[in-house]
Amino acid sequence: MKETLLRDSAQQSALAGAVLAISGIKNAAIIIHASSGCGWAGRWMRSEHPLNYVPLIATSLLENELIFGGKEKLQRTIDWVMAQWKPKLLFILTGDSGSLINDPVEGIAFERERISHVPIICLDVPYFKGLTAVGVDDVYRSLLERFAKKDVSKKKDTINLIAPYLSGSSNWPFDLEEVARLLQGIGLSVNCVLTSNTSMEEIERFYAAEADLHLTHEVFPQLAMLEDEMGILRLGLDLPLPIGVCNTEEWLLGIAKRFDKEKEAKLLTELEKKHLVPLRFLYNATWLQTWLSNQSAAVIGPASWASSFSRFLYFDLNVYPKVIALYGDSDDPIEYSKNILKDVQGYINPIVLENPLYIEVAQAIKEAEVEFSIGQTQEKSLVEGIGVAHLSLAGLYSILGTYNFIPFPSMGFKGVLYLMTMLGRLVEETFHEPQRWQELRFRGREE
Amino acid sequence: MELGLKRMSEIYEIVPDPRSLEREKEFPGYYTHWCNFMQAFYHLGIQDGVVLVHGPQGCVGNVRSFLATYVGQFFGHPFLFAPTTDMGPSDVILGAKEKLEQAIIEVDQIYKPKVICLTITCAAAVTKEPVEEVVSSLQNRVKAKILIFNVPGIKNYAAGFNRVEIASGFCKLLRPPEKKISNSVNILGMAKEVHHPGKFLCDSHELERLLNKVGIRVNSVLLQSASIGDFERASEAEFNTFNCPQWGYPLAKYMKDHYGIPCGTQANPLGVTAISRWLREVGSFFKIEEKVEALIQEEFEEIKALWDEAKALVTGKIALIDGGDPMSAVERAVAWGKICSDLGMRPILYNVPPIEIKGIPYEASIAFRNEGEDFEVVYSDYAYHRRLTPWKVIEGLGLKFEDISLYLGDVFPEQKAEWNLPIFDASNSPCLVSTTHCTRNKNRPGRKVGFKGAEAFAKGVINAVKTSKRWDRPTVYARLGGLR
Repeated sequence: MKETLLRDSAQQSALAGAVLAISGIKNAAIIIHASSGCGWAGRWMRSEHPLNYVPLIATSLLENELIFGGKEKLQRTIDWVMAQWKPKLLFILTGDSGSLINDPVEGIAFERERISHVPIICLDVPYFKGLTAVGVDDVYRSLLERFAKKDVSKKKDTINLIAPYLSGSSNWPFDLEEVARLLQGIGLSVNCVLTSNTSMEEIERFYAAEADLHLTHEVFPQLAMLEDEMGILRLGLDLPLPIGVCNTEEWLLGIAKRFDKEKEAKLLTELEKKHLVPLRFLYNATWLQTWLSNQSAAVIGPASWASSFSRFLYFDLNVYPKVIALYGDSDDPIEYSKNILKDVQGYINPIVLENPLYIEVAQAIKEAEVEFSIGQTQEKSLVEGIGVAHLSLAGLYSILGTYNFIPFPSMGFKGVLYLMTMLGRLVEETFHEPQRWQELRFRGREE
Repeated sequence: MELGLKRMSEIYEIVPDPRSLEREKEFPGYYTHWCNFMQAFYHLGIQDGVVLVHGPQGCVGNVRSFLATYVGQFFGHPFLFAPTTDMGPSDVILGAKEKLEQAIIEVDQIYKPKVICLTITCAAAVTKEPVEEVVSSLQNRVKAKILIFNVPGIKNYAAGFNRVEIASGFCKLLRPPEKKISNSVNILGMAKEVHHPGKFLCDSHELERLLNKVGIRVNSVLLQSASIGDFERASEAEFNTFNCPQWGYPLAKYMKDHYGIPCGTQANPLGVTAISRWLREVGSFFKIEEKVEALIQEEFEEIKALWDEAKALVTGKIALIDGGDPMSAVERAVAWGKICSDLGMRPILYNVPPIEIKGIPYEASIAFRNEGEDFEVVYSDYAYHRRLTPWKVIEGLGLKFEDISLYLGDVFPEQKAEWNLPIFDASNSPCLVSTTHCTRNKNRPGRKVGFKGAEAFAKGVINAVKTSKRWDRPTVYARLGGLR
């Protein structure tokens, strides 16, 4: 397809990204100074953090407030939030309408902070500013600039985990725990997570870590500047996510090398094999792996996840990812993800689509004649609508229809069990034939 | 604000225009659910159409993460292509006219759609992008018909206004009749419904079944998921009927004004009385009254035993109906009121904010102009969009728990238990869910229209009332609600 200025995907806005990041901070509250629709984007995003509830309200700007100004409405809303929710940290986010009318948001916030003694951070994160990573980066920068202590001494073998929700795995809350466990297994401790159930104390000691481990290929230029300034090593951008056996080994070794802990990583790998032992003589596991072998798939999703998952399918399961649709909020994540796909391209030649329109994804799937697809809930009806089975494993945790209540990782060696369970369902969906079964079912003489 | 009861018609009279500055004084921080664009998005999913969004990609990402998935997949276009012009910072300063022009041409070439529903979201609306100018200069150069929907969130004064805006936009697809089809009607105002064979029935299937039994043919069912052909041939019908009047009235008015097609006054026919009235109106128009009476008799006979059993359980008591804030339209809560009233209950509606009652253009608000449907509503300011719980309503109105014979609620009705002791739960309170997605039953219309719908509702009431006698073993849902 020729170059187009159009964009059609499930990617969300800078505002959504900001809410996603803030909702991982304990005792925070959010006001969105924009229309009610921006408020809803926020409400869905804050649900991503199952163990941390962040109250949120929108000023729900209307046309006449754009003309006369939304200042009073914002002031009233701040007062209401302070009285009702008593937050320890308040964010005021401006969406499209709030940003374009230029209300004196910072002035109001300054005044209210002086009275309430509650820190108020104002961020201009309209949709037109960019996609999710842009808003996430704004939040990280604002938090670190205001609260992180620069005079903390470095702690050996400590690491910060960055943007777990942008890994692209819809199982990210449980994957995050597994990632921390694996790191601990090679002698690294987590200093701060930006951001998931994160306390102010963790943010204050952020610069004590030796490295930031990014759990996404998305980039955060403002955070990068702070990392460089404070001598924090940036890890993870050249590594696959730890999805499946091969990826986890490479990921773990890649990190371990930077800390001179390769021996520990190899030892941990040996130990972790125990999780896979029960599959060895399990007839169902044999059956599933045999069934999956040699099949063709499409993988659609955030670039870091889609590239890593494609590697998992190919290296671990001998499934051929023929169509890989990579979505990135900028060119960088696409490039990082293409880089880790080079290994696959040495053997098979998948069609790699970069930020494609959904119509291009559908076209590629039809042409490639894949057996099934793995991606996000948002494109399930697109893919099933062209007659291909679809399994939703990517995207976000709380998108409606992602019924995922079992706290078990999809990453790491243990995660193979989760992924094989899910793929078992996909195989059934792909190869069961209910329509033919209905047509050919037993009918008695009198039916 | 203290809670009180007012008739819907009174509320309509005393509430300021939702577009006036007074609204904020009386209803501080109240806002209408979703925004115009979000509400429009899945309703614009007509067959073989594409939604082109003149705005940032994030607007589409927002709807794709919820409404397009949970509503659109079931009750609209299963997957709506929604390319955006992806407006960025320089576009809002320098303008994006050329970008829009190019986008329209590209959409026409790449998707080859029959219709392009061009939507304007906040960034393009606030910066006053010359959308109409671009469309009028380009329409002759592209094959798809372009419809403009000016639906930025900043126009979200009330859900009723939004619906008129969206439904009116589709009037451009209507055409003068080339012929008239005798004994035919349109069913207008189908929303969150799909008139297409599927696993579960929609309202229009039940209405069509009843109409066909008296020899009336359904010509077009509009508007959600309709085809371009459905719109184009709509004017060939003799009479327009309504399911939801808020979605249907703009189309009916257009067809009445331009093609002289009369329309009915009955809508959302839930309950035996309402469907009988709805059918009698059709019967009267086509002068087939006797056939219609025979049909009503025959259909009622089939459900009478169940209907009477349900009635005996609830008659004389209160039905507390959660209007859903109003994710379900005001008229929808009224429709539930009709069926509860039909079973002898006294309907009291709550979480139907005054701004939304006022926000239904009067002519589209058939409900409280019809005798017996001017229901009592819990009057509150719903400040900062706080919703009422059923127990707050009971307490606020000084009602007794035993006065209530049915709780009818939209999505996420709160339930509570002190672990093994139900406080407010299906195990001690007769609860029925009204959410469209969750009420679909095998061979019965989910939104309970017609006789089949009435039968399903009666069954639901019987099950709910009997279950509420249990008073032990609360549901997990209620236990979760009581966890600290």
